[in-house]
Amino acid sequence: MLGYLPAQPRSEWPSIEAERRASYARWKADLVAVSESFRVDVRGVQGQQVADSLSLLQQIQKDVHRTQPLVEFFQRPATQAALSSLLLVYARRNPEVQYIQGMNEVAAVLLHVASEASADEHAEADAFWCFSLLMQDIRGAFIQAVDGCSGHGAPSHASPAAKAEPGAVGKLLRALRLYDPELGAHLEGAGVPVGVFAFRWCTVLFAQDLPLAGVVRLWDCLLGDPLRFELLSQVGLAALLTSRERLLAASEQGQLAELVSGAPRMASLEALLAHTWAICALERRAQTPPFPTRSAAQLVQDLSGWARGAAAQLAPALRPAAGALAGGLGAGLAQRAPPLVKETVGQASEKVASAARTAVASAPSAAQAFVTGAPAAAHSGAHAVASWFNEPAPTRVRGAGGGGGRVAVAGGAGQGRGGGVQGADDRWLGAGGGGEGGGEGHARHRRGRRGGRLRGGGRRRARAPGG
Amino acid sequence: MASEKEKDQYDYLFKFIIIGDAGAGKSCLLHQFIENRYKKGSSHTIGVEFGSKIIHVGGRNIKLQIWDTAGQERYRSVTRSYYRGAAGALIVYDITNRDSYNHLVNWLQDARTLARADTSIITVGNKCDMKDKRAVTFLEASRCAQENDILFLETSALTGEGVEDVFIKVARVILNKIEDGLIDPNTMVSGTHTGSQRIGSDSGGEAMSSKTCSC
Repeated sequence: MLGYLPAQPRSEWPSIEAERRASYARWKADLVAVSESFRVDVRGVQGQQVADSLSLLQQIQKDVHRTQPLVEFFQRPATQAALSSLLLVYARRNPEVQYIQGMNEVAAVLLHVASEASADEHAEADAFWCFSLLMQDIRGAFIQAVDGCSGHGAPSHASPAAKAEPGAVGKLLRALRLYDPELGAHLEGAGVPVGVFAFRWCTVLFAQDLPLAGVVRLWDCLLGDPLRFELLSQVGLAALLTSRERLLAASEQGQLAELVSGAPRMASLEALLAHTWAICALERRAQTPPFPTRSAAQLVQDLSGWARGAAAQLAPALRPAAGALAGGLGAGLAQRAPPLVKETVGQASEKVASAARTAVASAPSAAQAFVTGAPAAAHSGAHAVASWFNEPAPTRVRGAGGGGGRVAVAGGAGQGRGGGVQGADDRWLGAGGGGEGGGEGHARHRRGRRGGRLRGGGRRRARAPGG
Repeated sequence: MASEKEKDQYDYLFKFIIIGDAGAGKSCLLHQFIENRYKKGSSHTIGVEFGSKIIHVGGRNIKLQIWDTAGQERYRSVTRSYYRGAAGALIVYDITNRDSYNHLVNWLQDARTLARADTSIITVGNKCDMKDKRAVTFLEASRCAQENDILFLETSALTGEGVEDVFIKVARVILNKIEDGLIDPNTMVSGTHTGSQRIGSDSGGEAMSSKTCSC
């Protein structure tokens, strides 16, 4: 998903892999010398450059030796040499970035994944490439993190190259005030510098704040998500919401600061991700007026308003489309979906159908785009949703960006809308679950998540009409 | 709640910063001070860490708000924004690493120009449990501190030796300055910017609880 290998055609993978591994080997040979005993040294430099390179290597090694200190893999001399080498090669080849503390954490996760996926001798090269590609997205945040202020402490303007959510921290703080004013005020009142911890979370993508397996899973979600790093602030917010009760129970500044700092680890990863999806889904639902519309009733009213408005332009041609849509959804899910989901989707398709009926009843003329888009979208939408429910759970979880990715296909015009109504409301409950009951139960989270997936489709639909 | 509140009663609020080269042991020092134990498996600091603790000095309860900064040169533009208003500064070096000692001058200059004109500064030679690898003698560091008119102590964040003394020593100096009228306690912690949030603009008056020190 980082683009190390193209999605298609797979037949080219071996040659691309071989080529990239060879390039890395060449660069490494030019820049780094690793002894038998895994001593890393610089190479290919002269004069003043020697001192610069050595100091660079020193900085890197200082951090490599304290990367993931609780994981045995990273204590091995071979691993440390590999991590140092790849960071050094990256730093030398990217002089505008060089090495910034925290990059070691990011590279470490990738090296660990690569070493599980391929033979030891290739893991370093594969990790290097994945790291380079990921850095393209997050280097902006890194550079801004360290160079974002002028020497006098005055913040300068964000660099236009900063792609990876330069304002993720600010976004999180704003969202906290909006989602849970009580918690926000509590933390602010106690003088807890939430931003300080969020800065760390967002800069190294939680690499320091979750167990390694959790980081890997979270990254799958991040990388699979079409909007990728937008998710970061939402994970941070989810961490705070899942820890809400404990945070509210504490009042001493130091204790609170420590709780906030450890918030991502406090709840189970499941709960953290469930809250994240709930927030994500709520944030991304397409609707006017935007957040915060809280009641389902109001959403339904908005929808019927929309339907009546559209009605003025709808043609009778819509009737079969709506029928197919509602029918397709129902048939696709009737057999397999859990009762809760069935109920939700059932209601949704009913709403679509009735909205369409209203529309058709009162509307003689057509909105061309809608008419042409609807039937195809309805079919592919129903199909996608059904096949999604058919997949074994872990894949679903892993595909999680899935919210957007896989179910994006489900962005049938009317269906996305209908699903959106129900889903959005459920999700709000899910998000509020953190706010109100501290996560009342799994069912509610799951419900939120499912809603999220449907919603992902809705969002896509909103951007590209007709799915 | 009542006991929590009582626990959080203090007479003065001092802002401290911990600065110094990467790997000198700043975070471990803070952890040892707050938790009274060594932080095993500690990673480097990204940006800034924060801790607070109430200590008893000269019959007063003093709340320390401590900002622990990343040591890497490139993070300095971030960490510098936390200096402002600091009443105390700990400049930490590693007694087994000559470079970290040589950089003291730079850190000292940073602290003097960016914190407060009257910031009380202490040089901390950390890792004094590793005597066999010592690269900086106690004598030369203590002389250097005298020349620069700052305090000096050696510590071990591993064993805890000297750690609490560092914080108490600096707090006592600040307290003396207040009682001698050299510092107005109402200006102790003023508007520290942490990116997008204002923190600790409380004025350090008498007997505050955490409930009253809002932003």
